[in-house]
Amino acid sequence: MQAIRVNVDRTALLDPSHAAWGDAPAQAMQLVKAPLAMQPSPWMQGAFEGLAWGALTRAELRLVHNGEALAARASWAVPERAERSLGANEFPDACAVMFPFVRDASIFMGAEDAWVNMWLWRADGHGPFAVTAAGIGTSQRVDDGVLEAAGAYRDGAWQVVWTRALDPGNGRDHVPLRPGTRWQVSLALWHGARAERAGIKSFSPTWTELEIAG
Amino acid sequence: MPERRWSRGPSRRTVLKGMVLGTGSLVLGRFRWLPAARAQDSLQPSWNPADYSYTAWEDLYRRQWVFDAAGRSTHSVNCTGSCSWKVLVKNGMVWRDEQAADYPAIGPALPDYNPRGCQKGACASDYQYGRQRVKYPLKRVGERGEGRWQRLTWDQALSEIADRTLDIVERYGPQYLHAFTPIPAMSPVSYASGSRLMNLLGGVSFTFYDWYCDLPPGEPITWGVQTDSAESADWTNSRFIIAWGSNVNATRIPDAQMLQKARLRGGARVVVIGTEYNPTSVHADQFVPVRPGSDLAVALAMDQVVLSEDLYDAAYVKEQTDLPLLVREDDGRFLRAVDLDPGVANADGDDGGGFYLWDRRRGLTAVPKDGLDLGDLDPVLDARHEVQTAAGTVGVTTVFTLLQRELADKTPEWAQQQSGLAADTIRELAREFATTRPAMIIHGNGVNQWYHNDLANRAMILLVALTGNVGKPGGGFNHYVGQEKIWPVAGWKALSYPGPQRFQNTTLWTYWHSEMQDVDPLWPELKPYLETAVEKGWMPLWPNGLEGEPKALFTWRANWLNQAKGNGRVLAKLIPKLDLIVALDFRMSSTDLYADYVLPAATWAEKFDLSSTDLTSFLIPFTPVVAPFAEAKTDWQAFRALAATIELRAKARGFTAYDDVIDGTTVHRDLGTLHDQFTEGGKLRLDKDAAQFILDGSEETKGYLFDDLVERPRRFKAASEHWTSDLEEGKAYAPFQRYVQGKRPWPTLTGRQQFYIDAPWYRELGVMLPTFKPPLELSKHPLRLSTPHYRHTIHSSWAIDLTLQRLQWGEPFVFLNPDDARDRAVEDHDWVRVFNDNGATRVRARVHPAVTPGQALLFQGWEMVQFEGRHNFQAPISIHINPTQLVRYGHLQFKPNYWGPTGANRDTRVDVEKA
Amino acid sequence: MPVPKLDKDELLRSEHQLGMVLDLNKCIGCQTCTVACKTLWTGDAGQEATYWMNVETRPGAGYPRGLAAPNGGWTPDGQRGVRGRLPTAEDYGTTYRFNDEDALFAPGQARFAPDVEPRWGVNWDEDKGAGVYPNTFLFYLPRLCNHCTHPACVAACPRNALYKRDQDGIVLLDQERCHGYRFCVEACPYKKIYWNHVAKVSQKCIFCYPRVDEGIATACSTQCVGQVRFVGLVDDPKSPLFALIHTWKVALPLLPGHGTQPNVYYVPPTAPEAVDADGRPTGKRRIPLSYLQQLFGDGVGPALDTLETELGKVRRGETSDLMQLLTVQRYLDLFTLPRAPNNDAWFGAFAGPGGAPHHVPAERTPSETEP
Repeated sequence: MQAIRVNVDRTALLDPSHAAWGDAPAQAMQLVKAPLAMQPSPWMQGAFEGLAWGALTRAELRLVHNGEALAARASWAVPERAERSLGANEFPDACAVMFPFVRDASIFMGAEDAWVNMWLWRADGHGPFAVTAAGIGTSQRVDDGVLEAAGAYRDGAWQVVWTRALDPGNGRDHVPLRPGTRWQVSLALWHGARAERAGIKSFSPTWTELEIAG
Repeated sequence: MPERRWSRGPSRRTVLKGMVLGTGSLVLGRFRWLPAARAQDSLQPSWNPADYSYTAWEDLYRRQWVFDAAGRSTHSVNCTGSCSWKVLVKNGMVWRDEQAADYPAIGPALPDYNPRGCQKGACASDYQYGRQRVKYPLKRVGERGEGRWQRLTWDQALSEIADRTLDIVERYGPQYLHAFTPIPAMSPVSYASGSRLMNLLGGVSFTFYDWYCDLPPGEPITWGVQTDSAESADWTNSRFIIAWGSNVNATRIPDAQMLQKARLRGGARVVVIGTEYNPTSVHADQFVPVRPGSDLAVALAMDQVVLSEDLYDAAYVKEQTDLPLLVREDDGRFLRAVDLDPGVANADGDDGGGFYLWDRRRGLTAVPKDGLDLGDLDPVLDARHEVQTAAGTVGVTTVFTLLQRELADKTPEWAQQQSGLAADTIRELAREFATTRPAMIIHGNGVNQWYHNDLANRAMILLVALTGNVGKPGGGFNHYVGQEKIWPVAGWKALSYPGPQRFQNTTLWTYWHSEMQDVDPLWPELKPYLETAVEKGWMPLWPNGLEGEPKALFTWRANWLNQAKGNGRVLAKLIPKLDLIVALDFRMSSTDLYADYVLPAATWAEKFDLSSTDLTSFLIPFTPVVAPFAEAKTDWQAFRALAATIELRAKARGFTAYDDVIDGTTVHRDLGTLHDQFTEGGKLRLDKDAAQFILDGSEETKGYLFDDLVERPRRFKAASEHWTSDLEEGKAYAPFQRYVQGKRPWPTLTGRQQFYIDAPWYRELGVMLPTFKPPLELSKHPLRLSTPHYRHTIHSSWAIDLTLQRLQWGEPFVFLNPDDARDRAVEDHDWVRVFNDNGATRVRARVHPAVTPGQALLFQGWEMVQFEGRHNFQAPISIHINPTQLVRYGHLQFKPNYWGPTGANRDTRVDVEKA
Repeated sequence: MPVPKLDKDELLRSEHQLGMVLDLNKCIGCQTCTVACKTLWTGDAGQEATYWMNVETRPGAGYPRGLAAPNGGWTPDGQRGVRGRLPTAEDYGTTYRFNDEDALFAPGQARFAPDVEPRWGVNWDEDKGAGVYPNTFLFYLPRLCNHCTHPACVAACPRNALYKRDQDGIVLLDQERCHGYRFCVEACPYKKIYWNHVAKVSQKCIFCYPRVDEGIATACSTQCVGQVRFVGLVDDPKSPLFALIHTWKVALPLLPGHGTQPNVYYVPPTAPEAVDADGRPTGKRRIPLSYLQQLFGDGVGPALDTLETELGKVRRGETSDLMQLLTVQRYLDLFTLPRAPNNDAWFGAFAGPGGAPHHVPAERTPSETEP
C-alpha cells in the first residue's frame, strides 16, 4: 500500500471525514482471530480454549503524509459499538496500527531482537498510546504526547485517525518513517462488546508492504 | 528515581534457563532477564526488559503509607465504647483513624481490652472536613427548618444570643433558660461548658438517661442506685450469661470479644433471649425466641420456678433482700416501728423508725440498721403472725410469702401463653440459672424500652438476687444501655455545677410542653398522678410547673429533636413556644435545622477532654490533634466566649444583678463578673485546665496529670461512693460488693435489695411486688413496632455518613418477616408506609426471615432529613409516662438521671402498607 | 515463530507464605475491617466499588453479587484454567452519592437521598441469612484476597503484572505493568481483584505490605475489634496458624474446589441449635452442614466436631489447648509476623507533649524497605 503525500495540515487530518482521506488509496486489510496458543498465560490456555473471538475480519487502512506528519485512518464496521469501560465487564472498541522496528519483526508483537511500534486508539477516551513491544506481554506505553488520535462512529462503522511526526526524533520509542522509503504495517481490532482486549482480538497475520511517497 | 534492580539478583533457575534457551529467547521473570543481542539497526528502545524490577512500582503504596504525626483522641458519642484512637495526620490535616490498641491488661488473669474501637470510629474523620461540617456561625433568616441561613461572625452571633438570653432572664427569669446536653462520661469538659454557664445564670439542666429510656427503673427501685454494672472483662468470670433484650454484638461492639472469651475460653453458656434472630444470637449457645414484650412474663415464671423448687440461696436472700421483712396484711405497708410505738424516733420519716423481721428464736425483731450482717439472727422467710400495733392486732406476713402468692400463678405454663416459649424450656433455663454459679443477665433495651420496664427489671433483678448472684464477680444484672455513668464524677459535678442547680426530667418536660396529653389515650389515668407529682414537687417541671412555657433551649453535643419520641408533635407544639434555640455542633443535624443559631463546634480531634465508660475501668483523653477547622471553637471556649459576651451586654444594659432562689437557697447572681466566675478567676480558661480540674477533684483520678492519659490509658485509682464496689488491682470491677461482701446497708428505704415497694401509688397500681402487666394495647394495628439500635450508627451519629451508608441501603428501611410482607404484597426494597394514629413514616421494606412474625423492626437514629416530610422513625411513636416513675418514696426521689419517668416507646402498634 | 517461554513459575513461587486464620465464631459483622481497609487504600475516584476487604452475610449473594456460582480458578486437578465471569456494574451495585449541601444547608427541605436508586451494594443482604423463623441461620464471612499458593490471577496475566513476593508469597499487582486487561478479574474465583474505571487498571489487596515490612500486621487484622484474625506464616510450624490449620485442622480454606490453594483460612461457625415452634432446642444443627461443606469443603464436619468437643471440655471446667489458642489472652498474640513485630513503635505510640511527629518522614527510598 502507499502512503501518498497530501498538502493538508496535521490537525485537519485528524478529522476522519476530511476530503484528503478520500484521495488516499484504501488498503483492504484481512484480519484473523489471534491464536490462543501465543498467549503467555497458562490459565488462559485452558479457560479460553474453544471460545470464539476475532470476528471483525475486515478493515480498511489509508495512510497519508504531508512531509512532516504521518496520518493513518482505519475504518471498520461494528454493529454494537462499545465506548465505555466503566463496569468491570466493559471493554471499549479499539484499534491499533503497528510498524516493525526491524523489517519482518515477528507479527506477534515482535521479539527481543526485533521490536515493534504500535499506535493504539480506544473508544473510551483512554489514550491514544504509542507503544513499543518486544514480544507478547512486554508492551510499554510511551507517554510523550507525540501521538494524537481521534475517532468517529458513523453508519455502523468506526473511523479512526492517528497522526504523528514522521520522525519524532526519538528513535527508541517511535520508529522513524521517512518519505521515499518502504516499510511495513499491520492492523489489529478489538470488539469491545465481545470483551476483546490484549491478545483476544483480530489481527493481520502478515505484514503489509508500505511505500511512503516521496 | 533511578531504575532499581531486584536486589536479590537472578535466581539460579533463571540463569540456567537462559543458558539452556540461548540468546534468542526471552525469559520473562522477576529476576534479571538475560541480555540478548538486538538485531536492529542500532536502535535501542528506551527501556530494557532485562532491568525490569518489580520492587520499584511497590513504592506507590509505600508512599501512601506515610503520615506526619499521630495524636490520641476518642469519640464523644453515647456508645459506651470509650475507645482510645490514634488520629493520623498528613500534611497538617487529619487523614484517618486507627485504634490505639494499647490498653494495659488489668491483670494476668484477665484478657486485655484491645483493640477497642469499631467501624464508626474507623471513619470518624469523615466528619472532620466532610460536607456536613458546620464551619461558621449561622443565623436563621427564614422559618425554623426552612434552611435559610445568614453567616455571622462569632462576635455578632454571641452578641445576639447574649441579648436574647438577657431578654428572657430579665422578663421571665433564668429558670426559662433550658439546656439539653447528655452523657457527661463521653466528654465531661464539653458537657460542663454550657452546663457551667447555665448554672451561673440559673438555667435548667436536662436529664437524658431516663429520657432516652436507658435508665432501668428497676435499679433505683430495688437497689437505690442509678445503675451499676460490671466492666466487660468481668464477663469472663461468668459461667452462665443471658443476653436478655441486649444485642451485644451490634451495640457493645468493642466488648463483644469479651462475650466470646467468656464462652470459648471461660466455658460460660451464652443464651440470647429476644425476638428476632439477631447478630448476638448468631454466636450464642442458645437462641430463645419470645414474643415482643413478653420478657416480663418469662422472668416472673423463672422466679416462680426458683421459688417453688427451693432453688434460691436462702442465706443470701435473708441477709441481702427485704424478703424476710414483715408487711401488714391490712394495708399492705411494711410493719414499721412507728406502728408499734408512735413516739419512736424518726416516726415521720418514710421508714417510720425502722422495719421488722421474724427471727426463728426471738420472734418479732427490728431489722439491724448499721449493717447487713445478721449476726446470729435467722429470719424466717415464710412466716405469718399477729402483732400488737398501737392501733390493735394486725396480721403480718413476709415479703417472701407475698411473693410466693404473687408468683403462684406465674407458672412456666402461664408464661408460655404470654411468650410463645415452651414451659419446659423456661423451667430448664430457670434451673440452670439457679444452679450455675456465677450467672448473669446482660440486660438491654429490648426489655427496657417497654412501658412496664420497671416490672421487667424488677422481675429479672429478683432472679439474680434469689440465686445469690448480685454482688458476685461474673454474676448479677448488668445493664449497659447508655454511657450514663461517669467515673471521675465529683470533679465533673463541681465543674458543671459550681452552685445550686435546677434540673428537669426531659420526658416530663417534652410531654407537657408538647401538649401530648391531648393525644395520649392514657392521659385520663395518668392525669391525677402527673398533676400530683408536679404540684407536690416530686418531679420538677420547669419553667413554672403546669402553667409556664419554656422560652429558650440551648443544646450541644446532641441531636435532641431527631431523637425525641413524638417529634412530630414536638415540632408542632413545643418548638413554637421557644423564643430562642441555640445549637452548638460540628455536623449539621436535624435539630440544628430548627435552631435559630448554629455555632460551629470543634470535632473530637480538635479539643482536650476526657472519656470513660462503665464497660471498662480505664480513662482516656481527647487531644487536639489538629487545630479547629474553619471557625470552629471547642465547646469550652465557645461557652466561655458566650459568658464574656453576656457579661459585656449585661453591663451595657445595666442589668447585672438578680437574686435567684433554688431549693430554698438564695443565690445572688452577678453577671458583671460572669466570665471570671466561669473561669474561676482565670484558672479554667483553657480546656486542658478544665480537664485537669476534673482529674484533681475526683477520687478516681486524683494524682493523674492529663499528659499521663495521653501516654496511655490509665486505670482508675479508686472507686468513690458513686460506685458500689472497691476497685481492686488485678481484678475486674464488679458491682455491689460493698453491700454483699462488705455488708453495708443498701441505699434503699429498707437498707436491703427491696422487692416490696409500699408507696401508696404502688399499692394503688398493684405493683408493690414485681408482677405481671401486659404490654400496652394502644391501638389495634397488627404489628408491634420495635426501634432498636443499629450497628452502623450511634443513634444519629454516622446515620448520613457516606462510608457507612454505602455499607447499607442508602435509605432508611424497616424489616418485615416474609409472612407479614407477603400478606401485604410487599417485596424487598418496596417503599412502604409504617403508620398508626400518631403518624406515618415512609421507608424501604426489607423482607428478612430473621425477623419475628408480627414485628416491624425499624432502627432508630436516622436523621429527619432522610425522610419524606421529615417524618422519621419517631412518627408513629408517642410518649407514655408510667406513674410508677413519678413517685417520691424513700430512696426514690428525683435526682437527675437517677429517677424520673422514662421515655418508653415499644408499646407501639403499627401497620405497614405499600407506599 | 515460537512463543518465548515465560517463567511463570518464578512469579508463582515464594520462599514462605504469609496467611490468615479468621475465626468465624467471633466475627460479628461490624465491618470495622472493611472500613479500615477502605479508608487506608481505596478511597480514590474509580474505586467506589472497590472493597479489598469486605464482610458478607452468608448465606447471601456475596460481593460482587453472583459470587456464589463457581467462577474462575482451576479445574479440580489444578491443571486447566476455568473461565470466570466478569461482574457487571450492577453486580457491584450502585455507588451512590448524597446531596449533603442541598439537604442540610440550602432552603427547600430537600430530602437527604442517594442520587441513583440503590439496587445492590457491598453489604446489601446484611443480617438476612436463610431459613424460616425461628430457625433462620446466618454468619458473617470476611473476605479478602487469599494470596493463594496456586493463584489463577498470576497465571492469567499475559503481561506478568501479577506475582508473588518471594519472601512471603503476598500476591501483588504491578500498577505500572497493568494495562487493565482483567484476565485476572475473570480468573480469580473469589473476585477479589477490582477494576478501577478511572485509572483503567486492576487493583487488589496488597496485604498491607508497607506495614508488614515494618512489622505491623494488616489494617484489617489489627483493627478487627472482635479479635477474629491470626496473621502469620502458614508454613512455620511454630505459628498459631500452622497449629490451627495442620494440627487441629479447624482452619479451612474457602471454596477449595477452585484449586487456587488459598492462604486465608476460616474456623467454621457453630450456631445455637435449631428450635421448634415453641422455642425448645431440638438438638439439630441450625446451619446445614451441606451449606458449610459447599463453602469450606469436607473438612468442615470434622472441624466442627473438634470445636464442639473442645468447647465441651471448657464447659466442664477442663482446659482446652485449642480454645486457649483461639481466644488469645493478649491481643498482640494474634500477630506473628516474620519481621520482628514493631509493636511498641506502633500500638499506642504518639507524639509526646512536645508535639514532635513520631512517625517516619514522608520520603522513603526502597532501600529502607528491603527485608
